Amino acid sequence: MKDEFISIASHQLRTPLAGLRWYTSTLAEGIAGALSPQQTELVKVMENCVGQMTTLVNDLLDVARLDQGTLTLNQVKIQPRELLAEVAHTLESKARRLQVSLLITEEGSLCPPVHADKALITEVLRNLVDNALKYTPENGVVKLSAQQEGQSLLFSVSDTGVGIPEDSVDKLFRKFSRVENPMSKRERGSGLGLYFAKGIVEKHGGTIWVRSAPGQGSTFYVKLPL
Amino acid sequence: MEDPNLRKPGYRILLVEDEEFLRRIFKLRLTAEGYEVTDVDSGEAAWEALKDSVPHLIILDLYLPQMSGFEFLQRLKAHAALSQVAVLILSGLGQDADIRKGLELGAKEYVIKTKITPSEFLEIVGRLLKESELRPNPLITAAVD
Repeated sequence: MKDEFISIASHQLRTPLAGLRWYTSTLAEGIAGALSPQQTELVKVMENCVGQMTTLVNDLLDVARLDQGTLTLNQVKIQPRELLAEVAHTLESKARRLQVSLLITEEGSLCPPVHADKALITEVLRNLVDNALKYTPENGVVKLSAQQEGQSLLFSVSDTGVGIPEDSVDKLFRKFSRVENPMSKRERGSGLGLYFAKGIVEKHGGTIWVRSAPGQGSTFYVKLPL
Repeated sequence: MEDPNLRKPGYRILLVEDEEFLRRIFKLRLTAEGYEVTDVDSGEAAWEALKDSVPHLIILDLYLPQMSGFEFLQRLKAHAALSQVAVLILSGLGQDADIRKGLELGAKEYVIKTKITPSEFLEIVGRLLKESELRPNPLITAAVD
């Protein structure tokens, strides 16, 4: 019953939201005709609002999936390097727009395959990279890497962003925890992405943690058993 | 803007989406990319459309009136002449069981409607068309029951 409720809620929420996103993007990209500078500015604000609402709905639905306890893993063999390339590819245009370099370091090519749920781990890494982009100023760098560490595979996502205050690190992976972003023009997160990431990584028998200091960027680590 | 028809000639897409406002914007964006798009609002209408022309890609919603997207996919994959047509599911349903079922039934990819941006979606469409086993060509028809 709960499953069915979430499934229907998911569909009913996502349908109009998808409409908003596609129509706004079509206006913003000038596909329906050129906009004046003022119209462009207004549509950008709309895009930002739609982006925030989309993140919130997606994250709420993800957390509902996780919390209902019925989420099962569909583990397959994944090449870490390919996974990182896929994640980077989906966020390339966002990185370009924010003028942040998105790089994959080479260690990944030497890694053995890992058994994991591809869709869920992709979502975890995508979430980490998306966060890194949100908190990294222009001309900054976000790096993705994967390397073998004994019987584990270690993914990392590091950025040259604003960093996380020490007192916020502990609560970072709790529901609705959010670190204030000094770059106020960037979209706000929902405060649920890292909670979901932690839940998914732990379901794989792995661990997730962060090393960060204000002004010195952050590195998020995801360790999965091989 | 670059003439889209010069970029991607001959690729046909069958778009199956029951929400009129979504069908309209998806078709507009796909047409702007230079694809030839036939749009229908149900699984039954999609099956009818296949009698006229076999597309290179079917973009399929799941939550459809009467015949669901899953049923349509099952029927398509069981049909000798149509089983190789690439299917991209674009759905609001995001439960793991839905995703697994869609992929097990033979969809190439499963995209949740709000999870990616329109430009990311169009990139996936472009990639699947390139991978498509049917090359861009004049009208192909298949005997559809």
